[in-house]
Amino acid sequence: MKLLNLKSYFYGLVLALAATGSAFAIEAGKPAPEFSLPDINGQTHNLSQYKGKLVVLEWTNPECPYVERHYETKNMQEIQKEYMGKGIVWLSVATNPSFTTQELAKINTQNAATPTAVLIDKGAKVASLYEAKTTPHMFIIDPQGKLIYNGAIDDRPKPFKDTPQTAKNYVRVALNEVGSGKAVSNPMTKPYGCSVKY
Amino acid sequence: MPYESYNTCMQKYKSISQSIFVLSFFCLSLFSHYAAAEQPQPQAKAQLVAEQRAIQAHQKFWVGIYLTMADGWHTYWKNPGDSGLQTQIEWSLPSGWKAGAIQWPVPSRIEVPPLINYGYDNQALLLVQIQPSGFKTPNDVTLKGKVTWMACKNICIPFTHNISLKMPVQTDLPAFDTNWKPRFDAVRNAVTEKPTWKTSLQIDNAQPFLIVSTTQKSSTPAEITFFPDSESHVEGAVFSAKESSDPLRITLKKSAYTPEVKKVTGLLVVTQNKVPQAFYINHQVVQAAAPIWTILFFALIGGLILNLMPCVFPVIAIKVAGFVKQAGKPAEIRKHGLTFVFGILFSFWVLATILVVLNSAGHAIGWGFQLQSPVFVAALSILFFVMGLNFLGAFEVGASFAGMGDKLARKSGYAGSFFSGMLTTIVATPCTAPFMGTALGFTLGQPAYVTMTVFTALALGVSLPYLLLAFFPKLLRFLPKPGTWMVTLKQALAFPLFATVIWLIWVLGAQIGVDGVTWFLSGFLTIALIVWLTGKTQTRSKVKKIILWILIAALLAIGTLFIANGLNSSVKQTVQTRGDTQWLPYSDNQLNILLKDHRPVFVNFTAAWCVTCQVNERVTFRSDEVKKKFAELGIVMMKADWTSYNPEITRTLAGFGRNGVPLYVLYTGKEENSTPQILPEVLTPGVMLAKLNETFNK
Repeated sequence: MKLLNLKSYFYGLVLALAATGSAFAIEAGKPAPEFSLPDINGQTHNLSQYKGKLVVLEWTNPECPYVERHYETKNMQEIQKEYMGKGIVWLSVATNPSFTTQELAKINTQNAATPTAVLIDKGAKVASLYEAKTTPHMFIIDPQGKLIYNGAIDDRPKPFKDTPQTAKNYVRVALNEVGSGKAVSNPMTKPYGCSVKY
Repeated sequence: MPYESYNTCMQKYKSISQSIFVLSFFCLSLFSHYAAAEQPQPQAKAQLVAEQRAIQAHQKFWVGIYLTMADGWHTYWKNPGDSGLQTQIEWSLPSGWKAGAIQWPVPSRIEVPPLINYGYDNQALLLVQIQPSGFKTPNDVTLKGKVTWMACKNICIPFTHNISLKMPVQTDLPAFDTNWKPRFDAVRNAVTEKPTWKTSLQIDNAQPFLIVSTTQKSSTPAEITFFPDSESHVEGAVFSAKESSDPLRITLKKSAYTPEVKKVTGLLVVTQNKVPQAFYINHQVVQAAAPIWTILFFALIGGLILNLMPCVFPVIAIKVAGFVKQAGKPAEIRKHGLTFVFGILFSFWVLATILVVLNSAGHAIGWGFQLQSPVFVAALSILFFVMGLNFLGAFEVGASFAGMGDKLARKSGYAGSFFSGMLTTIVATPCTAPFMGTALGFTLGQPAYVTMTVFTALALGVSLPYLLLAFFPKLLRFLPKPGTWMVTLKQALAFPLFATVIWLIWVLGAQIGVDGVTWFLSGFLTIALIVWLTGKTQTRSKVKKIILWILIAALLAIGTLFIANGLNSSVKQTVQTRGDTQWLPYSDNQLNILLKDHRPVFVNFTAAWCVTCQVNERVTFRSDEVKKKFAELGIVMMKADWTSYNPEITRTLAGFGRNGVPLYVLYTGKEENSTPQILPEVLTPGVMLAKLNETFNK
């Protein structure tokens, strides 16, 4: 039987550990970080101004095929309209976009998308706060300012055009659950898409 | 819509697979509808290539999906990481032909902080093995496939490429393509199936660690990179050891998307002296989460049943008989009873502490570790033998260990009770009762206080009869009054002790071999002589006394020589052979190879000193019905023999949340990473057959 090797134990403690990698995620259940961003019309939006309402954050990038899939099929626009009609605030966020503000506005109109606002996150400050990884990456914040959903938009991580309306849409499920007074059953899922540009 | 037009563009020209390169470029320019500024072009290309110039009928061969992109672009591994897409292929092969899974080259970490991706810069050669069956056209065959992949730089572009390759068919052995063969070899050889490093997963207070060790010591620092599979419950990690120590302990970070780490699978790359060694690891914690109360209850019951085991029973019986002598003195009984119980508790705590300390230092120790040492087994067998001789009356000990009778009145009697408590624990160690295994296994990876509590429950289970007597001495009324029956009982109880000796020597035999045992038994002969002569020293004649003591000293020397000689022997093979020819010795590598081939495997974790294991061995595994069923289902039987110290097996047990034997694990071999099933410890042929039927008749 091996004798107790204290040296190995000691070195085990001392050794440099660099557990780098995709280390993080804001946990559902924690308060959502406050932010203040301008939108494509120049108006500033703060998260705190929407207290008392359900807020959906949608990280977006018109160049990303995963995002396009939802917009071309009108899936994203449908969800936006349906739930905004129920009083939800929908904020699309573009981090370090390669488009100018005018171009983004034009794309928004062409897509017939009607979010409450399209926010521009230059410098990726808000993306860092929320640890947004992909486009699309969805966050849902409850009226008290607590994060209740963080993850993918649905269970079909494909960049190719198909009918995302037939996929299990986590955002719809979560919003419906909150609407009927239940807790979100699946608060954290692995998001998919193109990388957010840091 | 640009995406639509891009696809239609590709669709229109798909027949010209050779010109894909040009067409991607062409189609991509249509894509710039949404391109804000000058968008970089990936110049992405996908080709199907082969390392052989032709194929033979029914002979497996390798093909490669070769993806290329412009500089600065990258594509993804099977787990793309935080974003991206895994490359997939949909084959159109002649009927009956089978394509294997993609063999991925070793990826790189592509870091765009704070994000991490796993993939390949600029190009990737993904290998697939094809198994042909019939041929429609005898001269050549065309392999077709649709590969879906993604190339990213600042933007990501997904692709669907139709690739095809025409291969001539010949009867002679085909020649290799000198351009592709070395590149195919490089991909295949980059991942080894026989690594020189061993890994195991350890979960301490819900924090997962990967323990990495090697038998080849070297002082150059090792750098370790872990690429997790998509289903892994931990994130990727990079580890640099400043000084190579054994074992290396890498802290893993739990993925945010799983509540608990139960699975750590993926590719580990260990680089030492600039030479990388890559191998797949697969660690799963298959643990039935039991509430602590169930576990404590199991420990209690296990401890109680231990009282009935032949190793413990004689000591217990004598102790009870001792109490009988005290009937009528309830205070005495209570004090002695409690001291005895405390002796048991104390010894279990000592054992538990040793286990906890050794485990947290990373040593692969489990319950039963004391029996893995032949020296300990030898010492135990001598102890039992001497006790048996004492019970028979071959000699008397001054302050009798059994605390039988005479000296109970004196204070030294208490010490006697305490030590007999310790003795009870010592003699309990060779035995594992049902329920005990589960309870003790549960302590693995738990905080120290949980281990201590479980051991306390076990100790209380063992002590239960005494505790009852100590608090309800009136129960003694049910036992007969003291009399000569006590002497007869004591003598009779010598025999279960001798039976235990026989069993321990059998265990020793598995550890030191038949020759070693013979030497050892010769040592026993001298012990018997010594014991008998010591009895005779109670003579008045001084001369006789001196002669006897000299004789005893001489015998002691001879005996020690015999025993030492015996212990120095070792047995060449640790796997028992008689009647066990169908068992393959266990090794992690062998298991992985079998699982990759989708073979069903049954692993039997056993040890010679484990009573439950031996019973199951004889009752179930040697049963004709069971043997026939195993053969019928083509299950590979592997035996992990834990009789002697074996860190690999200890770590594998740890992966199942156990630190004791027996453990029976069944792999169906159906999907590569399917969760194995754990069978119950008490395994009758009926249970075994039922489980096999249930699993394989789905």
